Amino acid sequence: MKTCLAVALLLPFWLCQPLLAQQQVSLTKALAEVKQVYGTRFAYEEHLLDNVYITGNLKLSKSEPVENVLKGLLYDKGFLFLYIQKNYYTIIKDTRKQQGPVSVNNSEEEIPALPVQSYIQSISGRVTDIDGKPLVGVTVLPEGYAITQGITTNSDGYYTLRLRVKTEAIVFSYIGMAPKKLPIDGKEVLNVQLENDARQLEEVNVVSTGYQTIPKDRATGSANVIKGSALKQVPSINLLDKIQGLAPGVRVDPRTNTISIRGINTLSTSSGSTPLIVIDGFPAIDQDLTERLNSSASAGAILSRYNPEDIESITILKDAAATSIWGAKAANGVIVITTKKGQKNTSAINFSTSLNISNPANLSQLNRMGSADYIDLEKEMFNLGFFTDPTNWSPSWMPFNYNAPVSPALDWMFKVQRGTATASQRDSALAALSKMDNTQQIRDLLLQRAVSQQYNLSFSGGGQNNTYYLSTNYSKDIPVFRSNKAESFFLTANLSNNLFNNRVTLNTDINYNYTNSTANQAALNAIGSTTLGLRPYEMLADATGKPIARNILLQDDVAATFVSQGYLPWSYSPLQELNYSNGVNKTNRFRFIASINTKINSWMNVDLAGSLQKSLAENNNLNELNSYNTRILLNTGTTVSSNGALSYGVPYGGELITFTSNGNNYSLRAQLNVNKSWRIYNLVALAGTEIREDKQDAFQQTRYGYDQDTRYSAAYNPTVQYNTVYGWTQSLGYSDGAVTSNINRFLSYYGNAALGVLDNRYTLSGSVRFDDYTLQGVSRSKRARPLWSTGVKWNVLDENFMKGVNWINTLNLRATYGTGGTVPTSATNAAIISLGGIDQVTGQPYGQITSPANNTSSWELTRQWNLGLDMGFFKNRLSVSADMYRKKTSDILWTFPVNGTYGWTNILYNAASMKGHGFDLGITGQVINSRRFTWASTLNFGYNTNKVTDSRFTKPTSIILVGAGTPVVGLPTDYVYAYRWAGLDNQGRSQIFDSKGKVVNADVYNTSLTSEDLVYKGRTTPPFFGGFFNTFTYKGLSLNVRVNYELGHVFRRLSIQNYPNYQTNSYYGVLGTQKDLAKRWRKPGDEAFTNVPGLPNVNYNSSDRYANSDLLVLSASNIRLQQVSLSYQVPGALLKRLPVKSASFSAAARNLGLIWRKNKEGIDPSYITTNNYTNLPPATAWFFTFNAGF
Amino acid sequence: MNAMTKHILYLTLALGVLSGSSCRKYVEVEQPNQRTLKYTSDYQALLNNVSYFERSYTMPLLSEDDIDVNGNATLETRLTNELANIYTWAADYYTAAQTDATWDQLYNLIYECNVIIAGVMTSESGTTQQKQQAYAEAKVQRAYTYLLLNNIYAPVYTASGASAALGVPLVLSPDLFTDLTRPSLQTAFDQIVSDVTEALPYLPAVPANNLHVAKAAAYATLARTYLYMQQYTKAADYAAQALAIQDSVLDITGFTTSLANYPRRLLNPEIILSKSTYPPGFLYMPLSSELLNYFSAADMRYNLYTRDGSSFYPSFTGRGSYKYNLFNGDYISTGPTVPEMMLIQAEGLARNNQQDAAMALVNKLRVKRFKAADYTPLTAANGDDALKIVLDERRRELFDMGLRWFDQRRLNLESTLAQTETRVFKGATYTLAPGSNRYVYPIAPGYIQLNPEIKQNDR
Repeated sequence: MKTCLAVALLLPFWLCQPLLAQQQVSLTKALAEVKQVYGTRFAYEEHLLDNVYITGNLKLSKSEPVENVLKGLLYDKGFLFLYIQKNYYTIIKDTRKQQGPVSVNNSEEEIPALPVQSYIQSISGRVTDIDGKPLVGVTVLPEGYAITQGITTNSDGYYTLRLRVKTEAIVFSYIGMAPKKLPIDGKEVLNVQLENDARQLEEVNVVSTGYQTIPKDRATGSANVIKGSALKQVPSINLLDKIQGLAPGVRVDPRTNTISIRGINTLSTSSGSTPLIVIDGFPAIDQDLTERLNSSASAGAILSRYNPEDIESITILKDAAATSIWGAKAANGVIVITTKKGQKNTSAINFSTSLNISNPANLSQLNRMGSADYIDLEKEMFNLGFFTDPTNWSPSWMPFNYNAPVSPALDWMFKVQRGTATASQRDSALAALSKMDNTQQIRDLLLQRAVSQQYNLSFSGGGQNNTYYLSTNYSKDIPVFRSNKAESFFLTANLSNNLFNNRVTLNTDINYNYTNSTANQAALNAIGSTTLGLRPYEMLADATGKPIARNILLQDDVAATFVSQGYLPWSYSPLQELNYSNGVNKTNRFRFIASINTKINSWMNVDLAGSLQKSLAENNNLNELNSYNTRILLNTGTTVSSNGALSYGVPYGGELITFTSNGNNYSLRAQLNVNKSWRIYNLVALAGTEIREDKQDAFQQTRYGYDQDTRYSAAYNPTVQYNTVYGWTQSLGYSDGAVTSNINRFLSYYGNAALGVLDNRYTLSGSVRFDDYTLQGVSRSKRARPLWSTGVKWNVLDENFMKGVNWINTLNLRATYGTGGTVPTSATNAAIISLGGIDQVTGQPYGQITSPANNTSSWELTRQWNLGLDMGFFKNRLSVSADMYRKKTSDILWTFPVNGTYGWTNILYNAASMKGHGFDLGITGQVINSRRFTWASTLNFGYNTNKVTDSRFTKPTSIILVGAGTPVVGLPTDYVYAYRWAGLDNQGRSQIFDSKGKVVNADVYNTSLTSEDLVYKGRTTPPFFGGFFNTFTYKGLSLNVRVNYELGHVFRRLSIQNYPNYQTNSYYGVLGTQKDLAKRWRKPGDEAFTNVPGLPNVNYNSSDRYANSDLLVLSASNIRLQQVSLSYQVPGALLKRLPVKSASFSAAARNLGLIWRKNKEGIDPSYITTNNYTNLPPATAWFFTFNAGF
Repeated sequence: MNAMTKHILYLTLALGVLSGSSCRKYVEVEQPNQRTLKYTSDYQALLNNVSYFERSYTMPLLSEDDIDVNGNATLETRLTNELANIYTWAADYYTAAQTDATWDQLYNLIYECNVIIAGVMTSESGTTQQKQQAYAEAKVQRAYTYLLLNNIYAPVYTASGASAALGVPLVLSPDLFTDLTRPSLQTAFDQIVSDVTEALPYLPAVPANNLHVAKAAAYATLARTYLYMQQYTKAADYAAQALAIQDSVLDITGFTTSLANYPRRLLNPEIILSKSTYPPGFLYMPLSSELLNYFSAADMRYNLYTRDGSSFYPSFTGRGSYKYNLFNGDYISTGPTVPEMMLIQAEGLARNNQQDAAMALVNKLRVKRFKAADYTPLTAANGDDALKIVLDERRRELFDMGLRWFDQRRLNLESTLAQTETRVFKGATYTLAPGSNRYVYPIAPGYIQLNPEIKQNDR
């Protein structure tokens, strides 16, 4: 740090001296300097001061009045400045013809004494806002004469304008409001209402790192800022949907509901690749943006961790210079969320609501075979002896026949075999079954129209010395799966107070979030492929609408015998289960953040900040007495005693499993901020120290014999053995286990400095962070490591040789290098003991060493280079930002084999390495920017790839490569290898080619194949991805079209599922329903036209090699029309008589489907994890949103 | 700068200084569910872990001549490559990619012993006596484990050859990545003897249960050690010392009809130190006719511990060992027992031509192995006669537990007892000649690849 700063300080001296004399400074920069010194703020119309330069050296000193400085700067260039309030000026173009000397009217008190006789008319009146509240400091000017003639309204909104020249009209202007021109028409009183200007003044572009806010043009690092307004364009309840595609290099995966920045940096799943999430300056207690219920299904309900309406901006920090201030947790990038604050001297109420409706997924897209094909498959398997008649009481030691029943179709086949039905009866029964199709019932009875609602109400504003932002939000998401829902409620209060004459600022953020979700698996189970799944002809309800229940465990007659003895029904009905076995999760989250900022002098201040976050979650899984789970549990534990009475081994009643978890997190921070300019230098620096504690506790309690009405449960002894109906004994067992706790503490010192030289023509930045953290038994020297970064930025446009170039107005070059870490969670430098309770035989407490002392473990380290280029053309009509990066992660924790002689065969230690590289490109253009019609277009493009470089991952076997679970040197982490398909042989079994082109049949073991016999097919994550967004506006109408794309990756098409892998006479469960199964090989000769292995002679190699063959690996490249939305901003004029300042409506359609895909099979490659209902591409969702400001 | 500002500045500085000075303490908090070993009770908990400290070996059960696949094709195909290699005394057992589970497990046990030995004396909340006892227990456990390893992976100890032959790598601290050069066999056995000797004074006379090492177990370990060092007098002495503490022999004649009261392993009064194993590959093998010939039909061990081949899956002709199946899920006991000590003492006596004393011990054992009606005491005319009777009794008493393989290793060096073993497997005949290198297991090549300083055994 020291050397780094010293270099930064010394380097520029020789550079700057000769340049001082003829210095060209843009006017905006000069004004920024003024702001720095005087604290003066300015408002001016967008692009007004673009390309205006002043020559000479600014010598700012507080002894000189600011007005004099402004005169010197502005008047020569033809601009005027108007006083709005203390230290706040509006800058306008001086449109007067040169009319003598210019003076300034600052306020009523300072109106220069004018000769009374020189005015010809006096006009007075009052200026109010749309609510009738007086507007203070409105500039009132005679048209065409501007400042010397102008005046501002007083504290009651009144003005009196004395006209010295003849004027037709008066112009009223006020910051943030649309200016208004009124004809005088001889009137003496002109009262005016000004309306909010929908087109706000140019915002200052800043990057928030969580520790500081720096202007974007001074940041050396790579970061993307997503403003709240951009988030608003996607009305979805899911924050990830809102972010998708908005920042190049940031990828949202809809399948896993995760976000990743510039790919992955680690091989170990425990440390993960998720970015650090920071909320208002502190790491969030939940490190995810959203949670998805029914996590296996892409259409599960969404719970957001943050109220999207509260978000002012999201800053995504990507390279080391941007992230290194976060040190040990920043290797995967940082997402900094800043919530909204109030504005001084304003008040506003905002209300918005959004409704989303979408149909269940399009079931016609299912690649599903019909009932006839399914029965045909069952028939073939039956004839090949895959099933045994369940009525055979075998093995003989069964106390009763507890063979599982077969499907209705198979049952008919067995009836004929047994002689209890004729072949024609069977055929007509099967024909009837073939006509059954449960698709419609699934859609109608298990799925539903998905509906989500959002309501948001916020109050914001502030007085002279304080601001407030209060908001409340309610969201409800009902997904397509019945009996599931997610509700969240947010309450936010962000307050800020200036104390002691603005020396001290106190910020307080209070946030409360309540979520309540209900998860029910019945719909997912019914359409899944477990034994609870439905065969295509198995209906959910009969013709009268009564739910159909089926026996899954026992045959009907066996179950009926038990029921007649007093047992509960053994049958399962998906429709009934929709009412039972809900998992209800209720979570309360609290967040308090307070900070005190104290100015020590004009260039130094101190921040003291703390955060306290808590989460309290309770998850209740209730299996009611009537639920299938409980009925089976009870029935299994029930026996009939000699007198015929039932004896219950399990307490009679429901089962309630309660899982409680508490998270506690606090941080304290003390930080010194410096912002000083001297001579040609400008230094922005901070240094601080921070402590943090993360604490989690969780425990579970299981109750049996639970009665929902009385809330009473039975006492039970988990170790007592009870007799089961099957004749053996078992016990309920103790599944609740220990109270799991963990505690992690961090202690950090950090510092960051950016030195701007020559009016920030050159900026040098450096940061260093030293993290110490809880890691068992590890010496401090290993635990705590400094992480650092350095960067440089060159504002090329400020160079003399660029002076003549007008069409470029931004040209910055950036280069950074630095390190980021990933905290290990598992490897330890001391032997860790886990205590296991009491041994049942010896009665002694026992334990074991779970991991050995490993003196090599530390954190994973990622080094990153970043080169960036920012360009703006034609008054920033077109701006391009490009970044190129290289990453190298070393010390990745991986379980490597070690010599078993040391006592351990595998040890997790920091040994592996990998590298990655890529580029991010963002292009934004105002294609058309006329007064009425605008077209804005943004194209974001990211490329990322990685490669394992550790040479220990060598010699992969063919099985490892096809399984893709282990890293392999020289390959990306997500590689796909496949067998070279060679068609079926005349027995209907898979054949593949080996590396020499020789055909290998299914009898050859995998162990005799080598890695060379497989073919590399690519990666499963897209190397190229991004978004393309277009917004067209015409007057108040705005059309937004969003396109996302993912290119260059592959996926395995699912062709056969739950397909027999070997010959057996006891095939059990629900067969797959893929259409491909109907194309299976049946008889010699079929191999000429099918590739699906046949059932006769099937073995594991045959079906496994087909499923993993290159035949089924397809390109996953796709371009998707994600959203089209149309919104309408109601013109202020129409709202005049309403108590509404602004109003807008919008309608959006999301999930509009693929525009283009490379695969020819018609498959949406983003939704292929399993090819059943649970992962269908979502149907188009319709959103209606209304926004109103008061 | 006003007062308020000053206060805040001071506070900030104070906070910075405070966190700077107490930083280490702040982050060094213990994890509630898992932690580093700290208390004496943590080390005791390790020693209480049945599934760790009962570990022994499995593969010698496949090498020894107690079993014979006998051309059973089903069993032959079920013997996977490495099992078949062991069964046929092949030059190499494992491929480079495979690990040797016996080696791994025993060295893992040694790691735990090393952790205890290195740390228990400085642990918290224990009395010196408790610490010393845990320390001593770990030392004996480590010695016992090294004895097993050397018996499997090192040449047979001979007084003349021990300093030239190589013992197994001697790891005596819980450090990873240390040098693994094999010490001499003499060094290896010296370490075993010194560990036990050092531990003896701190051990209790009677253990809490036979998972734990007490004095009897320490003496038994020494008795076994000297037996395999072929120092039979010393072996007999230590066996006698073990027996002086624990000498109950279970009367097994009561279990003809029901196993109901048969003691489980940890409660068995015969077991001095409980160690367990299971059939290699969980495959039940037919007992060799050579072994079965030692039994008379009246021998209760024959009735209790063997069953007809039809009782096993896959079934075979002949008889199989039922030791594993006496209790569902219980294991085969391989640890030192009272009968084994009696036979070690008897062997020492017999070799010292004290045939009567030897026979007294043998008969003391046999009286509990036959019903009264079937029992006749054995007599020996001389030392050689007695030795033969003792060794025969060892075969009957100690079959199917790996000890036979260790006996084969040492006895084939005596010209009078040496015999050539032959096996037929998948049609081919394999022989194991007296003094063959194949009496020593190869070290799995993977370990040598990772640490080339480990020298392979001569093949």
